[in-house]
Amino acid sequence: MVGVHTASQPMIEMRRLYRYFGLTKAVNDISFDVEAGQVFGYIGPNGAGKTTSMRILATLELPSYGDALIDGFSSINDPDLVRRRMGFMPDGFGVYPNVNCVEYLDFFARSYGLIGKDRSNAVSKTLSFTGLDKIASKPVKGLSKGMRQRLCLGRAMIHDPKVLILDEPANGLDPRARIELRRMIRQLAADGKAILISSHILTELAEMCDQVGIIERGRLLATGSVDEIQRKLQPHSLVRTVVIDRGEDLAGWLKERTEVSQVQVQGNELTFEMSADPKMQSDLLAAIVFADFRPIEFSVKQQSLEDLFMQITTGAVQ
Amino acid sequence: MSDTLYDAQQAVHQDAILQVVDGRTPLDAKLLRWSDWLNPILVKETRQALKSRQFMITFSLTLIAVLFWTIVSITLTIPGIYFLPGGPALLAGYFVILLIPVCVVVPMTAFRSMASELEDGTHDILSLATLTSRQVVLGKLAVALLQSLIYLSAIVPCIALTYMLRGVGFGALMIIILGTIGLSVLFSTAALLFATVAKTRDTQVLMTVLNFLVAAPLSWVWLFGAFALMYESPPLEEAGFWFGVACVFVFGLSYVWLGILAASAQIGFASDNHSTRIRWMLLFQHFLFLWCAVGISIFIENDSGEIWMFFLSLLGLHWAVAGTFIIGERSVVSPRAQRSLPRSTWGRLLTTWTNPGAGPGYIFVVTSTLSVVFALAIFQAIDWKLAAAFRQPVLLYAATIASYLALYLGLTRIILLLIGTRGRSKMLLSLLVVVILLFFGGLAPMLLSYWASGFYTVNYEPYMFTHVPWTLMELLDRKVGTAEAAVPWLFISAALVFLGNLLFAFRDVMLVRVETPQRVSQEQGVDRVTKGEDPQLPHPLDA
Repeated sequence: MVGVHTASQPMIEMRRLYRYFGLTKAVNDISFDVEAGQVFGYIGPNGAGKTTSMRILATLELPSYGDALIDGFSSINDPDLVRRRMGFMPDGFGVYPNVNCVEYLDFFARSYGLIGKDRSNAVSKTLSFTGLDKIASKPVKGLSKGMRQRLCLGRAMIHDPKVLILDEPANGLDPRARIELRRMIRQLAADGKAILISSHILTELAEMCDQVGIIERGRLLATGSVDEIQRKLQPHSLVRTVVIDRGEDLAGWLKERTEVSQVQVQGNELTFEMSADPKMQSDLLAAIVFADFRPIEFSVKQQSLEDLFMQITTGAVQ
Repeated sequence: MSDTLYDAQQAVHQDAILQVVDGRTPLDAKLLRWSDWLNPILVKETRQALKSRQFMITFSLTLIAVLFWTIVSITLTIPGIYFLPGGPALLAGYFVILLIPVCVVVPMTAFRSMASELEDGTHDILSLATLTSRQVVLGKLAVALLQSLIYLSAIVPCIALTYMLRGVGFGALMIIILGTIGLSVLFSTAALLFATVAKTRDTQVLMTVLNFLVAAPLSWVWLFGAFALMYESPPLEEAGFWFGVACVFVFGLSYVWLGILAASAQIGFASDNHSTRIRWMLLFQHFLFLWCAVGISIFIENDSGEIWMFFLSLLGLHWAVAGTFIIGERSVVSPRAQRSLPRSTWGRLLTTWTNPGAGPGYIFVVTSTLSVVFALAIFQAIDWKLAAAFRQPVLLYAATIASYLALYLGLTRIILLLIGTRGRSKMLLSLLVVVILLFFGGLAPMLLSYWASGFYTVNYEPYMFTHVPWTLMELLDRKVGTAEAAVPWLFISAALVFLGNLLFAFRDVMLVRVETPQRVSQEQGVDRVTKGEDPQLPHPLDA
C-alpha cells in the first residue's frame, strides 16, 4: 500500500495495520491518527500488540498488511524519510561498552548527519534538556535505569524530530524521575511534537495524554480523549447534588424531567442518572437554581482511566 | 557528598563535554571539525578501542613478540649477519607475528563488533538513524583497516631493518605488506558478512567456524606465497607476473565489495531492493573470470584448453554458490523495490533478470552461464586465434556446467515453490535442498550401476548424467566418447527444467515500475539537487 501525501495531514497515521506471527495476530486492523502537539497514550496489557505496532511505525518491522505513516511518509516504503522525522525510544535497549554519555549522544548526532555547529548544539541542548550534563562523563554501561531512560530519550530527540514514539518510558523510574519525564514530555508536545507513548502507569498517562487508544489482543478497542471514551461507553453519567433544604421536593421535580432517571434521595443529598453531555448537565444545574432550589454541590462522577481500562479490556491474552 | 567533591565531579563532566563537543584546544576543535566527515562508526569505535583492554593487550603482545624475535633472530645469526643477507629470515618471523593480529584478531574483532550489535539490540537503535546499512558495514570495515594499520605500525620499523640487512627487495616487501593488509580487509569483510547472518548464540558459533574454514586455507596459501616472495626474488620485470597480481587484486577487491553489498543487504531495511546491485557485481566477477582466462591463455600460450576448463570450473562454482542463495530470495517484490524497476522497453528487455526475486534470479544465473557457451561457440565458428583453445571438449564442458546449473537450481526452485515460503527469504533452505539433490543425484546412479553389475563394480553409464563431479571428470579426461552418451540426457532434462522455471517466472517478469509519490520525489530531489544530481530518479536505461 502506497501512502497518499496531502498538504494537511496528521503527523502519525496507522492505516489498517496487521501483523501476524504465524497464527498469532499481534496487530489486527489498527487505525488511528495523532496530530502535531498531541500526546497519544497507547494502553494495553502485556502482549497486546503495542510494541509491535510501535516498531512498525518506527521502521523496525514490516506489517503483514496496511501502512503506518509519519508526516505523510510511509514507514514501509520511505523508511529513510521517516527516520529523519521520528525518534523512537524502545522499552529495552542495548548500550555500547567503553562509551560515556556525551560520546553516546555525539555518536548518534553524527549518525543523523549533524555536523559542525549543528552537532555541538544538538548534543549540548540534549544534555541540558535531559539533565545528563551532570553525569556526562559517566560510562553508559554503569548508568542507573532512570538515567538510561533519560539517555535513550536524549538519543531519540537529538535530531529534533517532529514525532516521538516512546515505548514504556516510565518503566522502572522512581517517582521524581517520573514527574520529570512527564514534564519533559509535556514540554516536547508544547514545542509541537506529536508523541505516541505507551505505559502501564495509567494515572500518569491520563495526566499527560490528549488522546488514548486502548488495545487488547492486537485490536484497538477504543480511541479518543478519556472523556470521549467515557461518553461512548456510558451515555449516562451519575450525578450527585446536595441542596441546603427541600431535598424531597427537588427529587419530585427531577422525576418529572425526561432527561433524568434513577433518582435517589437521602435527606438533602440526591443522586440520579442523566445524559453525559456536559451542556445538558449545565442546563439542568441552571434550571435547578432557576427553580429556587439552593444547591451547594453538583458533581458528575468521573471515571478514571483505570476504570475505563478495566471496563473495556477483558484481560485476555494470546 | 561534600560541595567540593560535587564541584570537582561537575568539572570533570563539563570537561568531558568540552572534549567531545567543542574540543579543549584550537587543534582539538579543528580535528573535531575534520572528524565530521568521517564515518560515525569509525569515530565511535576508535574512541571505544582507545579505552578497550583487549586492544591494549593485543597491541602490547605484538610489540613484545616483535622485540623478542628481533633479539633472538639477531643473536642466532651473529656473526653471519655481517656477511650474509639476513633479511628474509628476520622478515619471515615479523610476517608471522603480523599475520596473527591482522588476519586473526582484527577479523574476529570485526565479527564480535557486528554480532554484538545484533545480539544486544544496539543495531535496532543504530538503524533508526539516517546511516545506511552500507555505511554501517563500511564503518566497521574502516575500523578493521585502521586496527590493521596500527598493528602494522608496530612492525614497520623492524621491516625497515630487514631491508637494511639485505636479501629482500623493496618490491617484494611492498607486495607482502599490501597483500597482508588486503587479506585482513578480505577476512574482515567475510567476518562481517558471517556476523550479519548469525543472529543467535548458536549461529554465531557456527559462523565463527565457517569463518575460520574460509580464512585458514587462504592464510596458509598466502603464508607460502609470502615466503616464496621473501626467499626467491619475484619476477618484477615480467608482464605476466603483474597481470597475475592485478587479477588477484581485482578479484579480492570485487569479493570485498560483494561482501559489503551482501552484509548491507542482511542488515538493511527489508523492503529495499538489495538484489540488483549484488547481481551486477556477480556479473562483473563473471567477466573477470573470463578476462583472466583469456589473459593467462595469452601469457602462458597454452592451447590445450586446460586453463579454460579450470576457469570454467571456477565460474561454475561461482554461479552455483551465488545461484543457490539467489533462488532462496523472497518472491515478493516490495513497492519500494518496484520503484527502481525500468520503464522503457530496452530497460525491461535488458535488466528484468536483475530484478529482485527468485524467478528472475534463476534465469539470470542460467543465462549468464549460457552466454559463455554461446561466446565459445561463436569464437569456434569464426576460428578466431583464441578459438584454438576451444576444442570440442571445452565447449562441451561449458555447456555441461550451464546445464547442471539449470537442472539443479531449477529443481531446487520448483521444490521451494512446492514447499511454499510465504514470501519469506529461504536462503538456508535453498542451500539444504541443493546439497540434498546433489547428494542423491550422485548416489542414486552409482547404486544403480553397482546393482546392474551384480554388486561387482561401478562404471560410468549414460544414466550417470546426474552425477556432477564424475561427468565433469570424464570430460576433463577428454573422454568425450564416454560422456557424450550421457550429456544429451543432461541437456534435455536441463532444458525441460529451465522451460518450467521460465513459466514460473512469468509473474515476476510482468512486474512494472511503481511511480514514486510526488512528495517523496520532491524530498529526495532536494537531497539530489544539493549533490548536483538530477532531482528525478530515472532508471539508467530509461534516460
